[in-house]
Amino acid sequence: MRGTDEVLLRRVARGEADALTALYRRHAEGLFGFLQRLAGDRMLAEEILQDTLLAVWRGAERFEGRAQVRTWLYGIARRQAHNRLRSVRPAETALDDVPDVAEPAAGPEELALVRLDRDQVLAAVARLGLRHREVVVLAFVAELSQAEIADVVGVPVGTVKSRLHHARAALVHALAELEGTQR
Amino acid sequence: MSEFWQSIQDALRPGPPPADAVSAMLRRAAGEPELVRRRHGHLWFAAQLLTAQMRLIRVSVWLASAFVMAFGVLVLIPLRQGGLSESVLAMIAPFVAAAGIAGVCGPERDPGLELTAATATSPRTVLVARVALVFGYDLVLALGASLALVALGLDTSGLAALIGAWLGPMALLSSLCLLLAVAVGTTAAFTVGLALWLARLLVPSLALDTRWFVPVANAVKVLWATNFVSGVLAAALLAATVVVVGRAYRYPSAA
Repeated sequence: MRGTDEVLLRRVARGEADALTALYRRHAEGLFGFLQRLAGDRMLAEEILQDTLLAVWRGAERFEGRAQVRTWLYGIARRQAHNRLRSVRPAETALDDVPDVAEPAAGPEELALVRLDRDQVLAAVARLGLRHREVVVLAFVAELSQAEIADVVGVPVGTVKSRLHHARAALVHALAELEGTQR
Repeated sequence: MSEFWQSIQDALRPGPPPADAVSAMLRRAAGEPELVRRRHGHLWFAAQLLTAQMRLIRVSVWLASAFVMAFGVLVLIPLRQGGLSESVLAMIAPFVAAAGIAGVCGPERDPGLELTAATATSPRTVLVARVALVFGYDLVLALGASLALVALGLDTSGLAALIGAWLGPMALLSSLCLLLAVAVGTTAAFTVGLALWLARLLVPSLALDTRWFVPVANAVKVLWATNFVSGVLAAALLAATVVVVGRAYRYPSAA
């Protein structure tokens, strides 16, 4: 898979559009899912996706093979998303500072939340700060490993673990709040 | 993964990705110079840019230059005075080139500016292309006029001396008018160009011996010639223009 991605990327660097199409098809679902959930809006995600593909098209020749193509792609997508979201998104409801809670393993609170509907989950994710939202989305939507997320975000794996831990706690907290307001 | 987190993951599952994202991006990128260069090569890009700019420059610019230069040669034919050729070409060629450059490189009278501003090609690249076209065209016209005068036996000083009479002044006045056109505007460039041209015309005929006039006359003599000083000054003005143009124009940047 990695080798094939690199071959495709080398062809992209030579200006072969069909190679970019093939590379996009391989990663479209995860990339677009990442962007859609990070941006919280399909139209905006499509714009960021185009920015990402353009950056890949222009920068393919600069890929040095030090990272996997997949994490390189997500890294570019993340940078493009940050560029757009910084100017588009207003101040978020920061849940980054919620009180630290224990690792949210399946407990009574969570079991009560299992039947939460999709809109509530999306609303809760949208309330996360950008750096917590991105690790949640990379883990749950793009299904990257913690090491891959560390590559994409450019932080040590330990920091990814910490951010995921806090993000999960903040998510549970947000879901509980949303559930509470609906009752 | 617990049932809870599995349900979170299911809820976050996104919709289908757009199928035509790559073609949409390529359509968007089609006009970007960097990509065009990468695909077709620098020479092809330069040829395309020059062709496009040639279409945007008004026909009157080309015609006026050719008319004035032809008029200069035609005036000299019946006079048949060898010494006049240098003087006439030294007066005509610089002004024709400077006026042409002021006319196509300033923002006010340029119908192509709006189109240029809508492209992602750098303003410096566009400016260099335009100057190269107009200056190159006027250079060819002046060379043609010089060759014609020598061939017709209307010049006694030789081709090199004849070219030397107009080449330096042409480069200097053109680069000065270019800088003024970009920094101030076409009208200012044209006015200053005309004033300097008149100064060149009048200063040698004025036999003033005042404290201020002599250095002015000497400066005009040195600058209105093909020499190291006029060449360096022309190059410096051109470099200054390249710096100024990036700030004076605001073009949309590539994504």
